[in-house]
Amino acid sequence: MKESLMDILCDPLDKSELELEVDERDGEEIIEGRLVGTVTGEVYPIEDGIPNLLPPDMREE
Amino acid sequence: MHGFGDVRFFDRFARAYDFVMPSARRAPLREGLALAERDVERVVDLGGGTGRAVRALDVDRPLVVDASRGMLRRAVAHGLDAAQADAATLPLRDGTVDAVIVVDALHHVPDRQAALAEAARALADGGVLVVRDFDPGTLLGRLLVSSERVMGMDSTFDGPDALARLVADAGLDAAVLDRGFGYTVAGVKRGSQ
Repeated sequence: MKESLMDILCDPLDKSELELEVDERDGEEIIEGRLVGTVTGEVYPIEDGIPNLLPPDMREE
Repeated sequence: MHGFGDVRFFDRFARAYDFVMPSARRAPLREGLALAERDVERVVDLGGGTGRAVRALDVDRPLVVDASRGMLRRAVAHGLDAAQADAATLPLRDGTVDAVIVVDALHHVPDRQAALAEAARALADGGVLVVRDFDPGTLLGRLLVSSERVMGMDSTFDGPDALARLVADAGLDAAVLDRGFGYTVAGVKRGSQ
């Protein structure tokens, strides 16, 4: 995902802000990392450039 | 509130999907986007799967949102931004999106009212929601409804007028743009002033 997406993304649970933690990037593109809910503390993984922002109870793992 | 709907089917079907589905019809989508009362740059393709609808539109800042990771991998392979999310629990800030398109997808969404309300919330004032779906009241529509049942899908189809009412209930200024087997409903978010 492009870092500029942070301008529109929010925590799906309460629409509060997310914090971006990057493990691997390619320029503007975040490849691996996570988005963390600043209020809920929920961790949403970014894998293969795709953030998984499904509510936790809908995740398959 | 929300559920997987037909996500597992699309995870398996992703590879074949772009070959099987005809490219989305552009004209009605463009007509819908033209109703926006602001510049249309950021467009969310909701339930967008491989992103074929938004790819056909050539917009500046597309984002494909889908619950199926398999479909999104195809979207990313086409150079699109993608986010895995539930339509009824959208991870999008209020008023940050110029347009939301939902093409041949809303009938797969378990909670359509919640999904439309979330789309309306994410739209900026003057932004537009454009939905294309299939009319179960037409002959082809009845065939589609029964074939999706045979495939074990959990889809629910609304006709154009029923969908326009749902879009209006979500607080948008709704209109049916075209009718037929495939139909188009648009809803514009009017500013508070």
